[in-house]
Amino acid sequence: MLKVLIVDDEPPARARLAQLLADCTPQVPLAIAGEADGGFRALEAVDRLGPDVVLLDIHMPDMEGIEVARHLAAREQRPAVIFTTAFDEHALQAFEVQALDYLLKPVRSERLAAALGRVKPLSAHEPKLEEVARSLGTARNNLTVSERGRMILVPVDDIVFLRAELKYVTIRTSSREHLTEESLTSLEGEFGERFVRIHRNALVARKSIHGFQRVKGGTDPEGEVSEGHWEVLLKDLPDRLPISRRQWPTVKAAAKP
Amino acid sequence: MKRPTAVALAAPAASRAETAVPTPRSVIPDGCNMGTLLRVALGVNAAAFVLTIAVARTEILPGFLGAAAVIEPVLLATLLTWCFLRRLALPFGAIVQRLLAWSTPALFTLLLLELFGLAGQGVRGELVFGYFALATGAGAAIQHYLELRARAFSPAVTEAKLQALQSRIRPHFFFNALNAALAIVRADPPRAERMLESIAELLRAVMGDVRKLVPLEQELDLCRRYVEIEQTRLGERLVVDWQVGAVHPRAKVPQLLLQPIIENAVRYGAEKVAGHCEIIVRVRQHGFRLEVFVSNPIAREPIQREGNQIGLANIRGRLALIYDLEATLETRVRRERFELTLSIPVENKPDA
Repeated sequence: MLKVLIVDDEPPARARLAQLLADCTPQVPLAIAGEADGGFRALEAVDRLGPDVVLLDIHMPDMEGIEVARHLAAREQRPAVIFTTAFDEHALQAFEVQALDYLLKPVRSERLAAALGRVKPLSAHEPKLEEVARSLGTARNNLTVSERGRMILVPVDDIVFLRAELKYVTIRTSSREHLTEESLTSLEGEFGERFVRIHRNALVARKSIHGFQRVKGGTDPEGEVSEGHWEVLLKDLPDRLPISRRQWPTVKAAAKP
Repeated sequence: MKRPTAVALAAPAASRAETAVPTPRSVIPDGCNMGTLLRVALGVNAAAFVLTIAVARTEILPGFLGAAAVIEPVLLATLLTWCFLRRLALPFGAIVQRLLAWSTPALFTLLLLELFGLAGQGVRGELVFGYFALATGAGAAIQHYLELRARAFSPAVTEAKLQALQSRIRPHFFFNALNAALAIVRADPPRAERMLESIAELLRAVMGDVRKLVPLEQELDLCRRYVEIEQTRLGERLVVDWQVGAVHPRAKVPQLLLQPIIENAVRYGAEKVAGHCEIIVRVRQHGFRLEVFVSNPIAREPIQREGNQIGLANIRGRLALIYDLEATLETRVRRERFELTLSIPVENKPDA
């Protein structure tokens, strides 16, 4: 039996899907696991209820459906996702090309039954999903990170800097650190407007840059000669991050208001 | 009330209805229109200034001021006369109307020169003739420019532009509304019925003549129906505070003028911002102007707000086509709320 989660910010849209699911029960054995009225609650409900299928609205005020799906794709227990939308030319084209399943509102019950009949779970870091998101030009507003077996969301707005370490990227917010397996390059590609690359291994949030300080070169105790360079001073953290010589002109230009 | 129509429209039935953009039956410039007034005043003064520079060379400012003493009264008198002539000369053909328009500034120039006794003493006949020729030329140039302009904004062209701007009303909305109506059809048939009626009303307005003037009360009713649909869709999240003051019972506005403004507020207030959303709509009439104020909460991130400008550009485009310079639309962001103030002239014509 399929456990279905309904996600839509509009109460009548959820009611309508619940009615249609009830109509579909003779053909497709299913049960409604629950409803959620927004993206954050949807992710929480997925963790709590473990549905097999999520009917996911694309336009929601707190988090767009595409972003919800991207966070779901990062989970170990991944439900199948069927998107619902009223009318959105760009989104529809993206779906046509990527062949992800979607339903048009008002949804017809035969169409819903057919979609439920061929559900398959999201594959890890669903590449199609990434492509849809890219063609729609939607950057996430949160990053999913796994912490002691739980998935948590880190708002991109809170991030001060991102630094590539050996295998991971460290996400530094003003209050704590997280690790992610996503690459610095792909993060730069997605959030290039909010962050500036200051070094081969680091991105800094533009709004967190307080100023720059010149560090004099010299000889360190081990006898290595270092050249002078610039460092970024941050608004919320005492950390100082070195700027590579190659990036300095870009950083300087980007920091100008 | 019957009016002679100089330009035949393709749809005879539709053209009988009152429209926001009057058919140019008159080729005499509308001296009472704010847009015409500003354009003519600026144009004439700029031309006079350039001419003074060319002629006077050294004493530019005194020269310009001297010329202005003649130009300004003639300009004002001409505009005022055009304003009246426009109605009075309607029975005559375009050529007579044009001659009337051209001769107005020349006549006033002569009158002014006569009044100040300039014609008799000191000033030579050639100079008077020069002033006369200049005034006629200016009158002809202005009338010709404004006639060409009126043609460029002819009903057909304007309607096409208006249609293009209007058709951007979101299909999204209709599908979501139908979806919501379908959702309540089993549980609450009477409410679903009312909702479908409202959807039909909105569809009719969207597909109707975009220039049609409708009573303000009708446009407000359409807005209320629109809000009711959105409230069914979004639930208790959306609250609209209607503050409609006393307006003239015969006040008219172009159809679907207010609805897109309220739709914009719902779209960027309730659909982009999670949680409770209160929209304030204030409608007031001050003399011959109608003032509409709409305020809605707005997303904190500038990225989420961006689309707002597209919706507004559309509304501005329509206002410019219908009212030219006589409509003002001001917007500002204050305390995480978006505030819009619209001011338009009220059409107060009695019913035909």
